[in-house]
Amino acid sequence: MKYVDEYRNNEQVQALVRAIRKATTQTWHIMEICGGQTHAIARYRLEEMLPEQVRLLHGPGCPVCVTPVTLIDQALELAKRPDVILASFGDMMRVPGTREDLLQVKAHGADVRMLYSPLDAVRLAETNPGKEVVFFAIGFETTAPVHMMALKEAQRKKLSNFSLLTSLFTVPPAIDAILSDPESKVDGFLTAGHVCAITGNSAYHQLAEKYKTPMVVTGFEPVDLLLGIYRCLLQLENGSYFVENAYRRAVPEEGNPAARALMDETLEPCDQEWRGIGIIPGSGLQLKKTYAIYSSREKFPFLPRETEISSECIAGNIMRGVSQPSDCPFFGKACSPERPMGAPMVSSEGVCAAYYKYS
Amino acid sequence: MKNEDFNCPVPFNDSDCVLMAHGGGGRMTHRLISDIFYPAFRNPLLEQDHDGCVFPVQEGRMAYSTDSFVVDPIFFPGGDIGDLAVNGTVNDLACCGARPLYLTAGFILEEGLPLSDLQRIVRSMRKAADKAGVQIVAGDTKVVERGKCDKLFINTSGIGVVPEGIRIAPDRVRPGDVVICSGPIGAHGITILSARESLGFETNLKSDTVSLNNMLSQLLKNIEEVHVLRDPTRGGVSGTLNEIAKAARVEIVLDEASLPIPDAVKGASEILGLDPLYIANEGLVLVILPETRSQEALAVMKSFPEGKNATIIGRITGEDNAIVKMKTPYGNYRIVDMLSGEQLPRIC
Amino acid sequence: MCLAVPGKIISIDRSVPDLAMAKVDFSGVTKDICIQWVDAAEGDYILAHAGMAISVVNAREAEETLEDLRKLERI
Repeated sequence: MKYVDEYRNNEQVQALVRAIRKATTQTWHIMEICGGQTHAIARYRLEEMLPEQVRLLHGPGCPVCVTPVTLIDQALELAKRPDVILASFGDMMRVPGTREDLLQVKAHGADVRMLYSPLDAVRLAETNPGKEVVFFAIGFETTAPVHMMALKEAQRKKLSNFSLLTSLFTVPPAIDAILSDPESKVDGFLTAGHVCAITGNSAYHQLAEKYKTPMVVTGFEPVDLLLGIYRCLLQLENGSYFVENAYRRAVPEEGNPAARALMDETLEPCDQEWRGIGIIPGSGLQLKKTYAIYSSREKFPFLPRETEISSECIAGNIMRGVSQPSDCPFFGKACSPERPMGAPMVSSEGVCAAYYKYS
Repeated sequence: MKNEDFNCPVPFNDSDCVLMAHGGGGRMTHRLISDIFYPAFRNPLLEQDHDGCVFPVQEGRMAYSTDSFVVDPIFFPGGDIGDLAVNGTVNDLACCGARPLYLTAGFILEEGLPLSDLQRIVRSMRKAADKAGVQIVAGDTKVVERGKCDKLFINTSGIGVVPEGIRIAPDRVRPGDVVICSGPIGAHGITILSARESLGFETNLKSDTVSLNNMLSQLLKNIEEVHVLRDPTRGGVSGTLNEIAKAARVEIVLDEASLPIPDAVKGASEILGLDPLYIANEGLVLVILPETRSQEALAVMKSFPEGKNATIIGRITGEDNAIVKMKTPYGNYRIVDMLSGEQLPRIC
Repeated sequence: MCLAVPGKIISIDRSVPDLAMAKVDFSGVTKDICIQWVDAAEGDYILAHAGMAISVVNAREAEETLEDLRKLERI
């Protein structure tokens, strides 16, 4: 595949590894924020190739992992209603709520559909006028505007049977929360290239300045990831801290203005709970009042319910970069992808699941 | 008034689709059998018209296998549920080292299934049976109400004879053996996914469904030291190799660079976030045998169209550590585990 | 967090207002992708995420990155 294969090339991977070894003189902790990057790092065993002083920490950037249990319970409850078709990305199907997951309620008769795109859910609503189509709209800034595109499409088609159960997160407040934590070990960040392709890099300039921490916009293939790590190391070794774009073929400095305008029109920031971490102020997005008719929560008001978080699970520490999966006494024992105890074991993008699968 | 004027007012139903009455055991059932199944499957053993089929047996060992087919959609590029049902059981027998002889076929039909679809499917079963050199010698049909099954389900069972000297079993797998893969990985699974509307993509791929018994019997004739034959259907190449590793208690190491994965399978896997190693195949076989005989085996396999892309994808590297590993393009090794559940397309 | 895959635009359909669609080829797999947010033409590569093109692959930047890497290889 063009623009994929070139960035998996062994010679360039080895050259970058050599360059990283040469540039490293002391221990540095670098966090990749995005679950897709965590997955690629585990799949290609990139950590093994790095010098021991370069420690990778794996951030909370997997919307499947950090979607609160309460929300999953709401999705399950909606799915069980005979008048609802619950549509979702495949990722969410196996994520357990308090008692069950979407595949289980589907087995008991719920109409649950797995879709590739929220736009397909609009078509589903059009062809099923007698049912309410609820799309489980999870995501970060990359996916949020896609959900909003679906909403606008439903509006254009004057559909009254389409709504979104939103679980939307934003990256900069999470980085802010991680770096302001006195326990934080993170020296530099790889920011998520596909998020930046939408948002642009402006929010990261302030963060780099505020915490004197390098931020490197990074892609998802092995060469991209190593390039991001290398550029980040050079900054750390030089004592500099600025936003650098190591994924220029995909990320223009200004991001995608059309997608951002759509988000500005339809969404507003809110305080958001992250599974395993807790509430991070201003780290979520919710539908503006003017679009409340497309909010599943408005259409089907739920009582908020307390959810149990396993007190022994160290997921929160892992996702803040304070601990590694191997530090957890339950990893691979009581906690596995079949029986996850915490968020990072839930999705294949979660750091614990990625470690479990590939090592 | 003549006698023949007293005809029953209920007309004989010349329906163009399956009705509940087709499963009732009466005249409709009989017509379904005589108009559709018999003409397609015709052979002397079937025409004994018993409740079953009686045939002579040879001395030696027999292999016996069964499989059920519920694929959706029932027609797809490269095949349909009919040839899949024949090839599936033929291949299971062939992977036991057997020469497949006879199949039985059980049909569960959903009320409303167009008879033309049924006809097309049984004809493609006959064609696949002819190609594999097997006969369909007994069958059964049931009809269920609409919604109680999805168009039709087929079960096939089969019997074959295992030639002397052949012993296919995981416990024969030894360090120093190699794993040969008979062709491109993932084509069937991706074809089926693309034929379903919900994911909305098109490919130039076709299902690889094909019977492998002719190639495998030639292989076994030339090389008795074949240790294991397995068709990596559900669970994909990874699932099958993990089963072998566990049964034989050996370590298997795959070489990622050598995996024969078609571009379109790669493309679809990238878009949907799938791993080709877990995607189902239908006309593929994994052959494990000593490396010393591997070139000879490759030559035999490549002389058949279903094995023309055969290639070595891995090696048995150790004992007692029942595990499958893969060498990445960068010289590292990662574990290739079994799937926890079904592989689901992901967006994140 | 977000799978986005590069594919080549084969054809563009602008018949629906505010919903420009394109047939996009991902190495032998064709999919309809909405290109409403990007300024792209036939033959361009876009990055597709969940049915939307989120950016156009910048061929010049891609080549420059590879050239930088080739320089690094020679060190």
